[in-house]
Amino acid sequence: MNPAEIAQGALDLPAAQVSLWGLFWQAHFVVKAVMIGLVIASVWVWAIVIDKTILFARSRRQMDRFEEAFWSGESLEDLYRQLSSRPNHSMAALFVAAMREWKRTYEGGARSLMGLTQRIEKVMNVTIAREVERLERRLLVLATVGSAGPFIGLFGTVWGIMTSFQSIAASKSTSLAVVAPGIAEALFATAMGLIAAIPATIFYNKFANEVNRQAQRLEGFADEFSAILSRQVDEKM
Amino acid sequence: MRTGLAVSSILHAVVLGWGLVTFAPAVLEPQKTESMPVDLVPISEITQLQAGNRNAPKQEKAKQAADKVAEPKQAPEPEKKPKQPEVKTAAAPPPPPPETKPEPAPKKEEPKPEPKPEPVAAPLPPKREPPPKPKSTETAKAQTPKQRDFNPDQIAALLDRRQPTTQRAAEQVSPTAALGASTGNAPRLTQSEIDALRAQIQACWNPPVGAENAQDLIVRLRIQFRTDGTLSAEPVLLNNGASPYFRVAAESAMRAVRRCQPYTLPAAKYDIWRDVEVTFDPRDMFGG
Repeated sequence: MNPAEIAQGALDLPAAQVSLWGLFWQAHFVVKAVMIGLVIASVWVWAIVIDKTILFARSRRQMDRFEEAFWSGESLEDLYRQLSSRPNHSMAALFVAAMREWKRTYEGGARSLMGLTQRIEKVMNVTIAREVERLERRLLVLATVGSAGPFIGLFGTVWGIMTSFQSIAASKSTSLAVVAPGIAEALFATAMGLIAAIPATIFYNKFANEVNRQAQRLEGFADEFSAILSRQVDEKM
Repeated sequence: MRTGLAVSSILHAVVLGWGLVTFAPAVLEPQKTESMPVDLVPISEITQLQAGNRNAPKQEKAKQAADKVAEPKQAPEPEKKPKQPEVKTAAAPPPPPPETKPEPAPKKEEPKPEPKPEPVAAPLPPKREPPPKPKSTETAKAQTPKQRDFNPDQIAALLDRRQPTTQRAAEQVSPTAALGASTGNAPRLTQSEIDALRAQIQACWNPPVGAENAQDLIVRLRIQFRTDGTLSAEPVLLNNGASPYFRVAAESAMRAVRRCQPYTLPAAKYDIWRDVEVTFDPRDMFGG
């Protein structure tokens, strides 16, 4: 057979669309579902990423500002009065919780200050736990997408390859033009899985690290603050 | 969270929209190349000879072989024509052959006007005729008038001279005509005859399929024949192989040798093929 004829025969087949929309539209509905799911996952991942980036940046900045104010020698009473109405970041929340406990005991005219240090530490631990939980909320979504995304994409790929083999069987031809659309859509599913999963994994690691650092910073502040309060308690006694 | 979601959605929409616009792949134009006709000529056409028929007329074979060498256009003459000149040559005087040498070209011009003797000679002699021919055509028109003066005895002499060449052509062709021809005096089997024997054996041989390193399973057998082509003794294994499949391969080769008898081999060379060594190489099988 003449090579030119073969090439002609291949061209005569219904031209498969290999554009992005064509890839999606020709796909089996299972593959379509996989693709849509991956797009949604990607949107959600990026929403979380943007949200967390803003949150962490703001949180870090506010902590810096608060620590500056805290160690500036300003009266803690004034600081408490400023922040108690709306503790807008973790460290402020921590400070307000401890101060509230302190003031409640101190101003309530308690007989003994013995349990005060323990109570303050407990309150601060609870606050730290709550704040850390707030910081790392939704990070699990990133972890899940990062680990499951490739598998979901792979599932779409396997399904697409099955389709292309079925089309081989149906047309009884192994011509590349018969196989190519199925394989292209299959690989497109994997590509989308990876597109969703790679940022998710990267940002999950970054944010997990960030949460860890901020939690440590909170704990460090809590220790220092409880040391200060405990010194105050001892001086009162 | 809402800002994040909004920004993310917009971002995805932008990226997907950009992808829809730009991800249209360039259509690959198939390069048009000149198709080159290739004929596959299996070497077996040359090396594997068909069994010959001793009763077949030799002349036909001779003509076929000669046609390939000489010009195919000229119609081969029936057998009777060459014989007639033979009769003449018997009567013709012997001197002419020496005379012909000084003037080879002019003498060939002579027969041209007479259609019959010339075609007879042309197709048959394979090697000697072609060189003089071109000369003759060049000088043909100029010299023909003079040569007509020659006496007819020399024409007979010419015919006489050609006759032996045709005979020689027939002799040269016949040995290669067929394996079965008993005319050959060659002292040993030719390559093509060995190939023919191998082809007969291979027709019955099922080499071990799927064996590891099958190309290494080369089996050499010593085979002894009777004159009628049957085995006079069991084939003897001559080599040894490390492969665990070697035993299987050797068995299959021996089975093949036993199954295919009697073999068709040139009886005249019986002394040669009475006791032969045959190499069974799976590469020949798979390659062929």
